[in-house]
Amino acid sequence: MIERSLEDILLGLVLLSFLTLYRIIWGPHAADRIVGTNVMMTNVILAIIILAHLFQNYTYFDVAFVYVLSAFVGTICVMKSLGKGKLS
Amino acid sequence: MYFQKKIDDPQGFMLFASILYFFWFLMSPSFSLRNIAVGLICCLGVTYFWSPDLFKAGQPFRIAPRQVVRLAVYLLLLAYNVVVANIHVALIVLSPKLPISPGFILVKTKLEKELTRTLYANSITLTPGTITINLNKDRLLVHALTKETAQGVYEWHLENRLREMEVGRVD
Amino acid sequence: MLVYELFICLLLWSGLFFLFVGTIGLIRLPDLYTRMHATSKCDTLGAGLILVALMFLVGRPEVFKLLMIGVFIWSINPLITHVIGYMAYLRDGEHLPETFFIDCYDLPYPGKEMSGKEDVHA
Repeated sequence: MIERSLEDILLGLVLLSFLTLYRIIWGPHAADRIVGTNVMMTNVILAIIILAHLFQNYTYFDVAFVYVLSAFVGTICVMKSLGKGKLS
Repeated sequence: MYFQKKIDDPQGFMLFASILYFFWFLMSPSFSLRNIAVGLICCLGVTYFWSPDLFKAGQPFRIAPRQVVRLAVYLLLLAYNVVVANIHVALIVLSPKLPISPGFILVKTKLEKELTRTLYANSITLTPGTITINLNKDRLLVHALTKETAQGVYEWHLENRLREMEVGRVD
Repeated sequence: MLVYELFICLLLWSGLFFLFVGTIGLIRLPDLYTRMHATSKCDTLGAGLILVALMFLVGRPEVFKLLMIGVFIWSINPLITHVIGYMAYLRDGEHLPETFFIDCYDLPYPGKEMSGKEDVHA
């Protein structure tokens, strides 16, 4: 039962990412697109972790960990360059 | 220049480096000689590199056991409040005619240390209907989803908990 | 054993429900700040619930990695919200026309109207 619902939740995460694409493509401003990308980041992290558990290959947890940090730094860089016009 | 000559707060330096070393062994649980040596070098180097930002003059880095207990109690209360906040947001989002009346509110905080102020701003973001936009010394700019939640952030009981953790008493 | 499996399935599906609410809020709500209300709260709790459910399933040394990922998501998500909101506010962010502004600094609750953007830079 747990395996089955894990697979269903993986499918649900993919569908939610497709729903988020609406805001990323047609968002009125750049900040809305960043918010949508942020939601998709969370979905991708959870998908990586669930896949790692389904494949019984726990090395991918490190990949998810690095993905959290790099997505955070990327968002900060984009918002700084949008708000101030420079990156320092 | 980030490399400074001497270290102002050696006790805080050792405390921070040992916390990092603890997390090193959580992350790579093997006790070979190479692992121990590399972890020690990395933790001391990282703490030395960031020491101008970590250890400010006049604010020594100390953690008392009582503060850890109070932080744990605070985090449990925060988890309960986060669940309440999510149900609140879900009721607003899923109702057919979006009952929102958004606005900005500028409030003052009683907290003094920068760490507790940051924790307070993050907790405001996670609890019902409010997100922090800016934190500047002791003024917080908060965006509220409805007018009632804007009134709620003005007198919020969790701020007293953080104040208690900071100074050891309530005033 | 059945109760255990039902408990874990409940955690997983409630996590997916909160992620769904966050995405619906991202699509439905009218301006940037209200969208951030939905995403910051619901995404954080949904990710936390799914991570707690997986913590019951994996073995001993991997639990700490999941715990660290959870702590990072719970501390980074409010930070990202804060940065996006502040930068949008600096650029005269695109808020709804009926938004109210209240200044409560050193004042009882009803307060006065906020004068403008120089309150932030002070």
